[in-house]
Amino acid sequence: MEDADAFSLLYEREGEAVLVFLARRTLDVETAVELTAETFAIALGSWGRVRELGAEQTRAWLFTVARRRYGRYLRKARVERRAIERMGIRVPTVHHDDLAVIEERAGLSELRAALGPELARLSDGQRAALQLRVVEERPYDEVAAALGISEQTARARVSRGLRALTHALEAHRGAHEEVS
Amino acid sequence: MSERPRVLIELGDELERAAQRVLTGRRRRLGAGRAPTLGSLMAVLAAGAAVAVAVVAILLIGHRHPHALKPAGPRPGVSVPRGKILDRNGRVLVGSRRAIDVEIVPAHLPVPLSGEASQLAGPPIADQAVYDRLAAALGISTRRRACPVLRSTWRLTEVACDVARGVSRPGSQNVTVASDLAPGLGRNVAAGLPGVTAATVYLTTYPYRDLGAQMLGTVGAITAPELSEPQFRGVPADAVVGQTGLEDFYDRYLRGRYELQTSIDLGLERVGQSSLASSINRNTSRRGGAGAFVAMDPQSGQIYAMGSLPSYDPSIFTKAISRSAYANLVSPRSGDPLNDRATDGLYATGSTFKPITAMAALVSGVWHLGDTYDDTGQYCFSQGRLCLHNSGNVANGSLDLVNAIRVSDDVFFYNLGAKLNADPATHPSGGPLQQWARLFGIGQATGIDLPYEASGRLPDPKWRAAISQVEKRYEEKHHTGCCTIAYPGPWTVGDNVNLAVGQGNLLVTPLQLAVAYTAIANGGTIVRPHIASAVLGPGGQVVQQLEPLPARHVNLPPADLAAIRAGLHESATRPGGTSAPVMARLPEPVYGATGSAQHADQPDQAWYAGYVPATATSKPIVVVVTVEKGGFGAVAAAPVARQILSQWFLGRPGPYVAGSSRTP
Repeated sequence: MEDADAFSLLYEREGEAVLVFLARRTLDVETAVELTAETFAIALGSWGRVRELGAEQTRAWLFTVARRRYGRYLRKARVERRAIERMGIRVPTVHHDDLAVIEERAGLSELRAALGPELARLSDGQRAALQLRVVEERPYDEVAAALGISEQTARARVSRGLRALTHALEAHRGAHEEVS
Repeated sequence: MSERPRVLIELGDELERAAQRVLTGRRRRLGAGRAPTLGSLMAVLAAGAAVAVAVVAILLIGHRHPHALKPAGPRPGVSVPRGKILDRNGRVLVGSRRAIDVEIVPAHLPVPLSGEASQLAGPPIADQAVYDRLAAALGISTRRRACPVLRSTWRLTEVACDVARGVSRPGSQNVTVASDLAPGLGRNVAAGLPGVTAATVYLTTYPYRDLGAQMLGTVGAITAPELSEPQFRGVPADAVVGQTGLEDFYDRYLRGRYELQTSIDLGLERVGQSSLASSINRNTSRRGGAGAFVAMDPQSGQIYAMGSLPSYDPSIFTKAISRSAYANLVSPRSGDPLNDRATDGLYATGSTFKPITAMAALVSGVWHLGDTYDDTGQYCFSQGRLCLHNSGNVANGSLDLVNAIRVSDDVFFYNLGAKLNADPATHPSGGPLQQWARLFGIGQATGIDLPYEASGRLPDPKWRAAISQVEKRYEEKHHTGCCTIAYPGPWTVGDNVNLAVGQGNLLVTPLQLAVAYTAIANGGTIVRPHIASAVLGPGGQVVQQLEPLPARHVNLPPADLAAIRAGLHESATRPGGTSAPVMARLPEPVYGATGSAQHADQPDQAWYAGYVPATATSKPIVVVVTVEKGGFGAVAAAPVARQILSQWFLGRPGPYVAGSSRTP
């Protein structure tokens, strides 16, 4: 099999699982799509190494990359797009119809419901940003406008708020996860 | 694969392209036509003389195989031509031409394939030899690649993949392998290959490409839900029907080969679209700038020109469209070109709303023609706790209503908005301002002859109470704090003050605003806008006239109407008028208002609404122009209106004259 085909097959096989994995952590489909794109862009950049792995090992490697991307997103309060840019990948827009499908597959509504009481523990700014973005699912420019802050700051507040809620979220994910 | 989220499919396409680039250094097939390779030539030599002739023909004429036209659905051509759509002078806006497709008939292959998805138990490779010979003739690669079909992924050549996908589709017909070949070429390719046929189809053509694309509309394969609708009774499962715009609204005529005469003036449509594009380029900094325009007859409601930018070339839908190309057409990043902003774009109108406020104030008696107001530059309400200002904090001093319209004074109209506010407890549908806005058609669909049209929103206490309830329920259900959907709370005078200047929660389409201005121009008739004027038979004879009756007539007291018209006329002609420098030196008297609708954290939306009445000309016209994020109305919208008016009266657009008024 040619390398490009093998890579496409890997995406066909694992793309949705990686997206769900990231959506359940970020609670945000748009961010999850970006992180998924970055994860596969890294896989493409490391293909020389990855192609030698067996199917199970490839999967484990992929989810390790995804988890690390998520960790960096929490630490840096933004999605890193280095591999996306290096590979010249255009991250597609999340369509309205997609939202419901992905949200349902990732079980996000239960997670969001569980998140409500936890929000009380956050700072006012983070809580407001999370409410608007994660609970109400408003676009970032509206979050920024509603809070009177820049879009970048809004993104940072959402990311930091999620970091603060990591433990609560982990507890709620429980058995729902295929890959942890 | 249909249940896969679209974003995952598109990301897959992107990654596949990147992988081809990075891992093989080869360009992905999409959009990149290739000549046949030496290998494919060798295969052809073995495949028989007829096919060889075809390949030689491909090489000689440099034909690039139409592989970008990967069939994404049943074939988009039709076996009989659809009727044309004509402009008011009989020029063809949408036509039709003959083309040849090469198709595989699954049931006629040496090892026939059934059209039932359930029977496609394995990859359809029994007839691989046929696929390969066909691929060779057309210059399509015979390399095997991942081909996701339903829930399986097989490794197939591209032709085999097309067949697998085609056969797995419910109610599937023939599988189109190549579209729109030169006639001789298509037949030669098909000759001698079992199960392969050259089909004559008619493709819809758009001679002016993206001109008025959203209004003219598109055609496409009939969908499963459409097949069960009464108007499509008896239509075959592989029929091509109108899907959007006029093609959809008048499908039953056009499908029956009748022609549709419209009131569109091709020259005006072209000037409107190019002038709007020019304003977008000058005044908006971001890619994907957008706007819309409407020009119509204020007496009859006939549309002379209507457009929405960004636009697209509808011919993309006459051939199978790739997923990524379609995604690009509906993506917010590309400005959502399929969206018809003239009839579906919902916006606050800014000051172009003020004539409606003026009429409400005069008729309800909260303001009289002789009254003056001392504009100090700010208007305070709620016991002085909230103050609003004119743009640039100017104070215009003592103003009567005519002069307030001329200079578009916000403070004057804030005052009227407050005076027009009614007690929400006793007036849930609002006071005179809402009543008059409704009479002018604000917040209601206009009834234009297009399949989709937005209604908009006219805010009143009832709406405010309903949205507050939704917010409250949401907060209770999700345990959130305040204001996740809207600011809750009862209707306040501030809501009415905002509405008086076309701000706040008001949402109007450009077409609705045009209809409101026709009533000012014609003396109170609310027209029903319409684009088509007649259905023509094969010989061009009129089979049916299409002249809808006006929606209704509103009694506008003559003295009040005269004052508002005077304000609009002075606004476009007198010193200090917001659009006077732009409209100067036009041959006919213009009546009009600029507008700049404000949005948080982004540039204002520019508006112009104006008209030349039937009392002044034999060619009356109403024009509305809007430019998203365009800034001030005089700068970004009025110049477009001027060029439309110039084209209409002088037959040439004339210069693009930008104003400098910084009034909203």
